[in-house]
Amino acid sequence: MASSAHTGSMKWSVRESVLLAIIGVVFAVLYLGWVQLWLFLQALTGPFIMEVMMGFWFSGSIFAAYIIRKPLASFLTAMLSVVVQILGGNPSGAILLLTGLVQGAGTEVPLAATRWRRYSLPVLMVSGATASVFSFVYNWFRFGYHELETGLVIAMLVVRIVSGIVLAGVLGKYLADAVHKTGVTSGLAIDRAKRSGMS
Amino acid sequence: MIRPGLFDSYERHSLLRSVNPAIKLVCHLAAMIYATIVWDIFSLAGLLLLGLVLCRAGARMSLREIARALIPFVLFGLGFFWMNAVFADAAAGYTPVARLGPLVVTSEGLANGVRFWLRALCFGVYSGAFVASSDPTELALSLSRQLKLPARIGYSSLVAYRYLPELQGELRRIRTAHRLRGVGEGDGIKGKIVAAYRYTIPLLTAAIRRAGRASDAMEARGFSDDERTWYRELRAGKREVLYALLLAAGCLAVTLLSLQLGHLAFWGGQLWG
Repeated sequence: MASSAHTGSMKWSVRESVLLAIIGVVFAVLYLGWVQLWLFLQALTGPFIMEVMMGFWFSGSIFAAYIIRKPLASFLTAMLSVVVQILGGNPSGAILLLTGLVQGAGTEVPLAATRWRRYSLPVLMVSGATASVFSFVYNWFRFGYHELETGLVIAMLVVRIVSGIVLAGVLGKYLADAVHKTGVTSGLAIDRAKRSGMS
Repeated sequence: MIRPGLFDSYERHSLLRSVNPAIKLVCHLAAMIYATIVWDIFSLAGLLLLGLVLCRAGARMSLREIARALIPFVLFGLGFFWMNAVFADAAAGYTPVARLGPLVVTSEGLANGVRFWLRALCFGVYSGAFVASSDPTELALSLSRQLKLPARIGYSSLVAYRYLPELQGELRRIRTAHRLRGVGEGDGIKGKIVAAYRYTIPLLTAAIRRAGRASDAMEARGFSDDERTWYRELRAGKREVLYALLLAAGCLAVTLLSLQLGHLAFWGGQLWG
């Protein structure tokens, strides 16, 4: 619609706010599925698997930011999907609000640093990596990582960062690009950027 | 997740149906947050019982509906139960009670597992009672009127809330379309994972298309955040205050009883929370 066609406008159109709400809901459902897979794999392989799988829980934020390209898109997606997950029965409960806050801030900071102008693969990878670091610091306090061996903590952090880069940055962009190819994003920021030859 | 069918049962008359949805949402979220804070089995069971009463007497759900609504929460809790039962030995001083191959089951781990399970069920009953008794359109209206959210956020939430129960249908359509073209699901866990990956892109595409259609419809009807009138006035008054007080009194009663019997404990960040 006309109102969403202002290139580079920082004001959210109706289409963008409805889109963000729906993306938040769909990713909340995907995240709940991912939690089940994580529990299953953890039962088989042990707690370290969480570091490997962590990045996927930020992928929706990157997906939304890459498509909508507005301030707070990734942060709000994280918060919304957390609320839906709580209502949907994630036993972690209300503490997830804090998790969402930390992870959403993590993906948002690098995007804010580019003043929400650059959404290239490297920027999105950094965004995923930052979310990993933020969530790691948060988990450090929450689960008492200081009690673990230094070597193990470093290994956990490195694996989590790689996971953030691959499962959030690369996968989030890949999913958005795949969806873009179907044509449903026409008129949205991702589409305008690609038409004008940016990434 | 709450089963799709439950989203359509709000037309039934019930006590909870007549409580303003936004206020009810806030009350139930508060109860769920409280269920995250208490950590003894007695209090959690009490909160669960209170939630079951809300489902049965408040939202007039049949026992069958309640049981069906709780299935996913039971499964979810099962995963957390298992996790805690066998992995909580990481913290020193836990008492082993059984051995399953390389896994050690500890009594503290078992107890934590039961608590997480009860917590998941608590979320199930408070979510279920809300969903089964709330008209989505009234929810959107009351989010704007009582919680003073911009109309755009209220209505965006409405679209997303309405889409939630449709997701399963969407998934079924995608699966059928794949089967029709000879792309079946593989066997076992690996096949399931491959299939999930293949379903994700069509699912996201359908969701984005749906968002576009909904917002086009809204804009075509002149939707905006500017000055507007409302075709239905939703009020919040004595009834809502009474409901909030009743729920708070219920939680307080559970807590006091638990304290009296010497069970009361609060959550201190136990594993996998």
